[in-house]
Amino acid sequence: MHKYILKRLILLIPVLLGVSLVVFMMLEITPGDPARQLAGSDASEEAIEQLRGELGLNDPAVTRFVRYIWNACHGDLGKSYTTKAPVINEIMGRFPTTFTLACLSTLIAGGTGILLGIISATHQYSFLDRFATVFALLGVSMPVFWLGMMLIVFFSVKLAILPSSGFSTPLHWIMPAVAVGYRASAIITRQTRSSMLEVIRQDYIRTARAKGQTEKVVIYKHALKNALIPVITVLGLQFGAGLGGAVVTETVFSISGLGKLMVDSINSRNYPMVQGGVLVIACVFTLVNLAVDVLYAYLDPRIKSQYGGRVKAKKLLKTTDAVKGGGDQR
Amino acid sequence: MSEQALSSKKKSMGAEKFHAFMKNKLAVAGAMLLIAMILLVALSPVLAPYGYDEQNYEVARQTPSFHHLAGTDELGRDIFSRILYGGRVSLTIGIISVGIGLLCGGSLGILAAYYGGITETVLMRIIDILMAIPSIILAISICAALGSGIVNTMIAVGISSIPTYARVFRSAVISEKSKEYIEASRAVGAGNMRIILRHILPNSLAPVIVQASLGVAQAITTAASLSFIGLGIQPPNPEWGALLSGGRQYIRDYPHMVVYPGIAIMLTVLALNLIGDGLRDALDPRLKR
Amino acid sequence: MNLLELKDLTIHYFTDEGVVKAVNGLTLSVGAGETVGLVGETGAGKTTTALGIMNLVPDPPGKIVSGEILYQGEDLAKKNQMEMRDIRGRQISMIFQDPMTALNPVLTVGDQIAEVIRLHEELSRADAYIKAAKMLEMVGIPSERLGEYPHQFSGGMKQRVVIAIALACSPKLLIADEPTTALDVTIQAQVLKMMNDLKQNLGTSMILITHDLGVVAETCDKVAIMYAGEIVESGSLEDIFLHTAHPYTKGLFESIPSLKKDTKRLKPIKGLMPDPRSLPEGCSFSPRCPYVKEKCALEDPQVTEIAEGHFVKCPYWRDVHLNREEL
Repeated sequence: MHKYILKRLILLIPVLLGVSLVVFMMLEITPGDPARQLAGSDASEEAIEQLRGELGLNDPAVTRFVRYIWNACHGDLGKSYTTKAPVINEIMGRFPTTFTLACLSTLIAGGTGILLGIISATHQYSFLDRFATVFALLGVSMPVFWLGMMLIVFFSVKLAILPSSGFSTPLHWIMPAVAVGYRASAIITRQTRSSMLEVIRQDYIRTARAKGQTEKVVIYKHALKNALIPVITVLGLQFGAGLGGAVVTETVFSISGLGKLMVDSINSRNYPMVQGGVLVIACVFTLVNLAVDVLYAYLDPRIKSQYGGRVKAKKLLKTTDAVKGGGDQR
Repeated sequence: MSEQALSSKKKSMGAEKFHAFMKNKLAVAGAMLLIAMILLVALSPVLAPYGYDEQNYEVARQTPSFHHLAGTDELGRDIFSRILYGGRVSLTIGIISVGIGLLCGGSLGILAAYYGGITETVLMRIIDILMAIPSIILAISICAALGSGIVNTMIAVGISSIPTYARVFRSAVISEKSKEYIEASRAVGAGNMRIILRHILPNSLAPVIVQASLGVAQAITTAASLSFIGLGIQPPNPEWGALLSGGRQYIRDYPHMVVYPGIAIMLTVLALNLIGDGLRDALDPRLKR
Repeated sequence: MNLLELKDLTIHYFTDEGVVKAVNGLTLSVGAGETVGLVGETGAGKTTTALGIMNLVPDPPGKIVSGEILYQGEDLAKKNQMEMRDIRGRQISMIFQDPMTALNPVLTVGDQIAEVIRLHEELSRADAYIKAAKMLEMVGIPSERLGEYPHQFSGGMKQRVVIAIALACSPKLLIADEPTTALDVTIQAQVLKMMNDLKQNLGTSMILITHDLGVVAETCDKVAIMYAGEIVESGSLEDIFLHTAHPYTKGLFESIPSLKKDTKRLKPIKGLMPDPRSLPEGCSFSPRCPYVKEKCALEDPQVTEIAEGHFVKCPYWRDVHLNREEL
């Protein structure tokens, strides 16, 4: 298992290099001169030319890319055009907010989506199933930022019970997390329902029932463990969607997270900040996907055994020793 | 003659799928909703009571009334008319960007799956890199680099969907290419291009069609998000996301300015989702229950 | 008293496309220690009958419409799910047709065997695993493999695990639904022999569902031939094999090659099994029956006992009898 994780981590390196290249190219094709931006509008031509030399902007693109990567490995993602402060500091200051939001919404989505999906599948065509279907259809059809605005209209403006902007207290968290989480929950509901329906028809479920197992254990142990395997993947993707969707959610709720930072930076053409934001989000998303894959392997022994995971087998060997020992004595 | 037999067989299979689709009430409702949407939007010059940029300060920020079905905005423009015109932009972006995604992602996926080996490895690594960036962030990055505007938005949304289509096409082609009729056509001397275009492509379309119908919905939402954060379509162009972006600052006092454009997006996306689900059930009997 | 008696059991599936009459007035009895072969073509309602005894017919759409399932004198059809859970796995066990899919892929085989033990016996977790290991040894798998997952076993091994699960709590009745159909011929014989030995050691009664008359001849004491949800002929192995009395049974025998007789050409039964949604009037075999008379399509024939314990659902059994003896 450790080998598997290590292997996956090594495989991440080319992917992240590729992402950096994409991000780097993005800045290359953007019109505008970074030196001019950084120097400010009233700088003289000589000063700009000097700055360009200092920043190494006159070097060929390959040199600059290698330097960018080298610096990125050392945690240097360049300087903000507007504040002149290192990009990484600003990003790291904002990141926890965005990460919290993504975690909260994934939590909401996982909790409600999996539960609704199970109920929906085990009570197919019942009222609850129809409710869940409509719930899910609405969820996948509403843009997150519009739902966010509707929540503000209802809970902040009409009822005045929830704050419409900021992210300082848990009370502030509710609407953004629900807005992002609802869509994800809808997707999880659909995925859980269909994979649960698929699993419930399997023969091994009938075997479990034929053993005299209670329906609860049949559903929550035998069926769910199998049905969750594809759901986990979707949950990971939804975490990424929450992370990426932060750009709109944080705009709607005026949350000063990474997403808002990126939107503001795009509007002020502060490209190193945008670049850094994309890179950090891609890194986190990739790590989350890796975690999902590891979890996947953990849940599905068919995958695990490809990587030599036999922890449980070892533990059970003691039992079989006891059988043999016991057999001898009698 | 065999050609004829083949096409008649295909027709009957298509008819059967069509029948299965028509039996799905939700899917038919979705299709009807989408057709209604398209008609409304296509006929907007005739149906819209006002021009999309017709300003009238005397009626600025009015709540919905008989004269202005969805109210007016801060410049006194009729929101209903703007939604109708905006639908042209949104739907066009949705369809064309899916076209871009299908074309680029499709060719990448097909080439990777058909040739396998090093081609596949290289292409799929590139796709992996694009997959590592959440698609909305990818779209934003491209849009930020290219600048705003309808064409750039289409390109940005289209490119951000390439990985999805590449993967769908690839897995569809891989499962199709291992079938015996491909072996048979190779045995009678058909070339690669011919096998791909005449045999593999038509037979692996089912999952692609489903993905594309859901993809249009996705593209409309992504484009609206781009416009909402100030990229994408710029005012006064009435794209749906741009309408929401413009109305956002008046949300406390005039919520109607953001309610109706959002409903337009929701209904369109809902219709496309229902159609997509219906198509999946009809085209892929394995998933039917 | 018989261990199990099915009286007039009727199970239908109520689907959108109509009522599927899977089992229609089936009567069958299994004595203690007996092995009864339930023989019929695919779609004859054999598996539904088995699921009916376990009260596991998927509902919806399936329902036990009428009839009694008397197990040791108690009607299982009247028991609720909670009462049935004590019977399943403990009193009556079932082996399913396809071992490849009958085991849960994400649980170890040890977990799956121990589960049934812990459900029905007051054992600690560790003791349950010890017993599971013994069961595994009993079906001929080294107990070291307790911690392995189903995908690490071959088909025949998986079926052994399924058998270990079924027999773990020494049930009084074992229902084996085509236990060897999905296995290779060589493995089939092994598994059958093992089942037979275990059954004998544990004193278990068995209903063996199969379409293979060869398997029946090797293992069964009694045979019941099933057609379109009904038992058309039942009796001892000898009754069925030597004194065949129903046209359908005769058709079955004539459609398998024999080594003893120099058969030039097999005589398959003409036509197909009727659609269980619209069974023919009168005798449901009449459209395919070579002995068909006018009366057959009009009224459903009565079951007659033509010799002790030999029941036939055909009034013209004498014709079949005669004909067979001619051969």
